[in-house]
Amino acid sequence: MPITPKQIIQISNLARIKIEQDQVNLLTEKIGEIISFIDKLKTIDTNEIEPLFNPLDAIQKLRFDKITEIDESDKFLGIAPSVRKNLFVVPKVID
Amino acid sequence: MEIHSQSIAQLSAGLQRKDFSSEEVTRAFLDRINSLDHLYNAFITVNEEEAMSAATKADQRIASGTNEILTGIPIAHKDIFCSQGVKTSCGSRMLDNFIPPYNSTVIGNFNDSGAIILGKTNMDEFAMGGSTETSYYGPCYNPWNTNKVPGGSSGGSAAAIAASLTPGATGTDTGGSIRQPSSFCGITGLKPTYGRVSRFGMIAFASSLDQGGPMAKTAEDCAILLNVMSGNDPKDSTSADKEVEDFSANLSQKIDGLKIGITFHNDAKNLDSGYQNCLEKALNQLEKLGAKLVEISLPKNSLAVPTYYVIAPAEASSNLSRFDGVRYGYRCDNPENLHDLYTRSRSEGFGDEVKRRILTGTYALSAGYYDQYYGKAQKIRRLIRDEYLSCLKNVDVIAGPTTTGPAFDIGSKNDDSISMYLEDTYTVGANLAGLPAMSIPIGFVNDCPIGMQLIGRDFEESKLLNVAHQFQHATDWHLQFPIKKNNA
Repeated sequence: MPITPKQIIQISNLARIKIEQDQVNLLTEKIGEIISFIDKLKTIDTNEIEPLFNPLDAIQKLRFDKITEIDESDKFLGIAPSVRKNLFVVPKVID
Repeated sequence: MEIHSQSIAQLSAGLQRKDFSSEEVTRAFLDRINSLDHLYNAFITVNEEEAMSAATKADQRIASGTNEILTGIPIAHKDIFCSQGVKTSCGSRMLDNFIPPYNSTVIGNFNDSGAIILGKTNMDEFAMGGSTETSYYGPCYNPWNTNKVPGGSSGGSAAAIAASLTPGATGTDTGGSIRQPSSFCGITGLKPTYGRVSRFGMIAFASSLDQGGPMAKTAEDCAILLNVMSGNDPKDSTSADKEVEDFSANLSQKIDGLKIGITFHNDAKNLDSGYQNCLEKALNQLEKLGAKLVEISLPKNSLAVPTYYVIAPAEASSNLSRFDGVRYGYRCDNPENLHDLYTRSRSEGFGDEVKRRILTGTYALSAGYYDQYYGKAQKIRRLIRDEYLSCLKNVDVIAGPTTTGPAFDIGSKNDDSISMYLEDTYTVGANLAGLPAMSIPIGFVNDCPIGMQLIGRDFEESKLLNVAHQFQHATDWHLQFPIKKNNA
């Protein structure tokens, strides 16, 4: 297979997605199939070709450095799972 | 003609003539949703109270003479567009509790025009899929045959239009998600040029491919919807700084002498004979209308699906990293530490297909593989776009099949990702190249509708709509609906 169970565990850790032990082999097979499918691109000669990151080759637009946002923090804090004193609450990071 | 059978253009004219009020029109569609949607599961949220209150306001606006063409017309929005105060789930458990505090630009534009939001439509989770089976809210069913998928990811919008639960809807298209469900449900859908419609407040899947667009019964209605959706938006730095023409203005123009590139003979080997037959008749019809058919070849398009399945998951893995259980959306119970909060919130909040694509994308972007996959795919993307542009120098429009066949059975492709991905064979090219493309109904195979795809030059949506409208003027495939057929 083009990808090993060890690599699947490694990328799932990078992606912060937990995979149950009994799913590792199945997922290795499934993602392996997808990687085999996309591997056919490797045979194409792309020397001298510039990558196309934006379909219209658009460049990043600039604007005047003027503040346009209004303070809507209350609205956004209002939909957060846990908030205290205008801050998002997460489990303790440092003991 | 009954209210629910009318097109947006007909409803708008009726409102103007005072044949009926917006309250009556809105009530009629809400009643149909309430009595029929249990068969299709096309809606995730029905916006009943707010819709009726907006209809009352629309009637006042019509009475005061300050109305626009969409004032008082009820439409549905794919549940990917943020709607202030109305749940926007993106078909995911991750956003099952998400009520946006702001409107996407698209919804804001429709609200300003006086259109009514009937509700939010079902979709594949985070728009990842071609069957609307990966939704957290259960699969959507094709109104032509409820054993079949409606296509995806904008399957709820397509099914709702086919079943006349709404006269029109918004959709989004990253690899075919407007056109393929339009083909499967026998409706008309348009993916505009990348940058034509603002992506602000449209939940991102693959940012360099995503584009919102209209879905309706007719090309004429798609033009009306696109007029409201389009335009440069300072809130979306990728939205194009292009003047928006009136997409309804050229619909009636004759297509005499128009050059249409066809890939038919290359495509034929992948199509069943019934589809080939319908496509041949549709192309003959275009010839009768004065168009000239020119054989073209797009060999690089065979690389489009694998290229797409590198770029889209890579961009998705990056975009979906924002869902971490901290600021909004799903948060797991009793996290032990920060890592556990991130990991369990994401693992419990995302469905299997979304996780698969995030993992594929993470792999393609990981150290040592970036150039091999993502960099390489972006170079091949340029080859694909260059090939389209070269063909479009010699022809005005490219025509071909939208899909490889009619709608497939529910559950038939769930265990085979590659087979599901190959459903996108004819559609992903336009996304990679950024070109506008649409699907229009051209007939039936096994009693299920199929579509023809039209692809145009950058920002030439008007030409596509013109060809589609002229075709629909001469044919009646777009006027056939399952409700009518089944006399339901």
